[in-house]
Amino acid sequence: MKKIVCYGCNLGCGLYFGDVPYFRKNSPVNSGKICRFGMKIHRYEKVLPKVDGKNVELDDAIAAAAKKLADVKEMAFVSFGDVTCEEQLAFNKLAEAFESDVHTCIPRFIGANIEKIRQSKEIITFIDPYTSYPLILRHMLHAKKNGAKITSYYWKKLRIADESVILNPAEIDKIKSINFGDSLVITDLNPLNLDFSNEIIKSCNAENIVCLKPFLNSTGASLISDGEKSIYQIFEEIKEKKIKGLYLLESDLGIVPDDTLMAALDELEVLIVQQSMRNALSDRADIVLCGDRKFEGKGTVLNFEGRVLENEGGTEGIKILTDILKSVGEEIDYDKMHAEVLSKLGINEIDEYIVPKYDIKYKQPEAEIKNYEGDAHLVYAYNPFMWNNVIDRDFVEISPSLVESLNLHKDELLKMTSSKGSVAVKYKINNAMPDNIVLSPMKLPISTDIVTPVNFKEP
Amino acid sequence: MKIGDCVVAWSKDEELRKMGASGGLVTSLLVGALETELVDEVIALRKISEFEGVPIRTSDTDEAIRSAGSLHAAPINLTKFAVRFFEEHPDGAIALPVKPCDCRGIIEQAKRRKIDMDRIYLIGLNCGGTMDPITTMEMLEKMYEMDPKKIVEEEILKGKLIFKTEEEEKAISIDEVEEAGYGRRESCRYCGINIPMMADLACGNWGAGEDETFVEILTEKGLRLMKSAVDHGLIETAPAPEKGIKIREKTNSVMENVAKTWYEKVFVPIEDRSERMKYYMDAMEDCIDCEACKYVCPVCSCDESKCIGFYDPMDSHKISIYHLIRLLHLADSCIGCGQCTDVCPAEIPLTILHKRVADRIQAKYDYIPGIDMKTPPFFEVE
Repeated sequence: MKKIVCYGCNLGCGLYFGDVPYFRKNSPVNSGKICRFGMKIHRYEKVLPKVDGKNVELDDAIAAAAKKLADVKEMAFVSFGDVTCEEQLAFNKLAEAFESDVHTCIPRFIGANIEKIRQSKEIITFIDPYTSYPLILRHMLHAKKNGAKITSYYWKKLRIADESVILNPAEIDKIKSINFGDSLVITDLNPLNLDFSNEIIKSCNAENIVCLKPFLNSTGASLISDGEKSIYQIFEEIKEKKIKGLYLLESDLGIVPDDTLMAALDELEVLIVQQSMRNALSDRADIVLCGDRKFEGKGTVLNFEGRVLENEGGTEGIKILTDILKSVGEEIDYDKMHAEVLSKLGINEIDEYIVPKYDIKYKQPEAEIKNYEGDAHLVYAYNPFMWNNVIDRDFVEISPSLVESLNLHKDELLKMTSSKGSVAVKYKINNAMPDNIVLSPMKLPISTDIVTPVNFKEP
Repeated sequence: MKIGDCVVAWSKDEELRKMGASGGLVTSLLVGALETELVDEVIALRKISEFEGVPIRTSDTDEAIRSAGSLHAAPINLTKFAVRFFEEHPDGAIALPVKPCDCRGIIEQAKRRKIDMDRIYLIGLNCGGTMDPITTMEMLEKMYEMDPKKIVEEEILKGKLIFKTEEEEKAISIDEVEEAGYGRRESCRYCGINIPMMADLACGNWGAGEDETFVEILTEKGLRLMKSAVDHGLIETAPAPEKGIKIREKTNSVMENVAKTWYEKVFVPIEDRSERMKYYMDAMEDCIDCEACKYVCPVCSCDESKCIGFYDPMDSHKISIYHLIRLLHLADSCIGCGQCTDVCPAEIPLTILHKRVADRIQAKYDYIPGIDMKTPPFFEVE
């Protein structure tokens, strides 16, 4: 069995993997415990190499990618960080060879560590630890057991919170008036909520913020790559023809709530994806390069604390990049990349039980928090399945009062309409939900943003 | 040698005597079982550090040798690895070292036709308990003032927990470390089965001299294991001295009493029915539906899991049907090994919750799971 790190989020949960996951009890982050996603990491269909819709040998796909990279100017390179630091660095080299940067779509930031959560006396959370980052829950429970007061600002009441403040989409900017004091703040930094997280990060002392991120190596990738474009800027520049070709390394732009944005990809001269999972993006791509499965890449991973972790596995992903780089006369290999990664991190060896110190300046993204119009809203409950565009739970959560007011019966579907159209979905009644929110763990076709104004009238 | 004999034994290989615990006997038995083709494969823990052991299944004697050494801070139950072997090789044979809880899991799986007891060689290991690796590392830093990375050996002897580096050795009583919240896993503290009398051999250092293992030969298979290792020139044996036999009995009796005290401390009865229900609802409400407890459970054996099959995550019950089915399913088979608590991401004390139900049922039917092939009471309902 290999020692791997779960790619469900950037918590850095260690586990073993043979042909199925197994519990690695000496992992410093999770003590061998893994969430629902971690238990299922291996269950996905691997994509095959492809050029223009036809299955080809990987070498032919690599040759096609090299040719397109030489031909198409204004290429953009995106990697959210679902790869090791070594692969991210190799991707940087490729982007540099074509005079570009790699965009991670998440700003560089490292805040407080797990130990700080466990020792905290006051915690303010903006995430739902039960679904969004489940392995953070046990550290929060530990703090609570030791007397910590937990206040949540979220879309529903949280069981762990002593005080739950329900966020109202029409007045989200009210978070500006929260007095954080010396509380430890737990929040989430992801490509879709830069305005929200930015507001929190700039209001608190960085040492008091636990900043969770959604991808395996979000933190490591953001330290290695310098690109600063947001996911929405990339779509915008594709529409404006400033970006004519796109190379996505294990990065599914389909995470954007508004799937009409994805139509912009059809305007590209070339869409190259290097990924392991077969999905709508790989079906849409002109060239598909198939690397190691997300949890099988050999190399270094940094979790949200900046803790350096080792992932045992293969180097197929780096080999693809190496082969493409050869076409422009650059020679790299895994060992070179690994040595450079350690040097960049300022360490000589990996020690997962120590969190190195970092001196990182958070660069505020251009994002202003906004309120949402309307009386009722569909809201996304981030979770590892959603970030991987996989449906785990095909139902939304709503309050008993909403069920009553809509006169919904058991087995009936909840009908919602937004500016994009209508949808009917299964629902679960949850006493913790407010009446004006529909919380969804999956993407729905009517969404326009992470918060979408909806009504419940028949279209 | 014959069934019922108590002997002391050790590896004839000098290197193995050094690498393995108590004279390297167990590793030699595994090597012997492979070399004499008693088995196709062995299961063991490949030692990565004093706090990490990776379960391996191998037919390679060199790999079996590399697994030598005891690991008290790598609490893994090997039952499901044995089940996997028989799924892949229904006619194969396998040998493995087993703690009492491994052995009990294997016997319960055998009752459910997942393991062939005629083809599995169980080298039982006396067990005073295992420890969680992360809290043990913390304990080393805080109580022993030792660097966990420098630990080369650990040992439980005469009620003390001993850690050694190349330079020093420190011992603190188990009572003291457990009082501070460290030491053995909770389920090990109240476990009263320390000598695996249900295995083919019961091995350990209780009553043994330095660099030797005390062995009680319990079955025909156990005798076969010992004889084949002797005939193959891998081990040497001598009759166990009377004093050693008495020390072993006394140590076991002390451990049983400690377990009883812990049991009474942990399992304070909740007499009031509504309080009991509230206690269960409160504990289980943190569940995040990962299903890890079912996956790791050594006695869980449904081909089509009823706990999952009849559970709808859309239900809003405070205790999910998943847990209710598992409580019922484990009522006659829970061996209290602690694996479910170990892997629960929401820190739900699942082992205690299951044992509170199971102990009542098991006491009523005078049935202890995993100690013999007696049919579970719920099977007889059919």
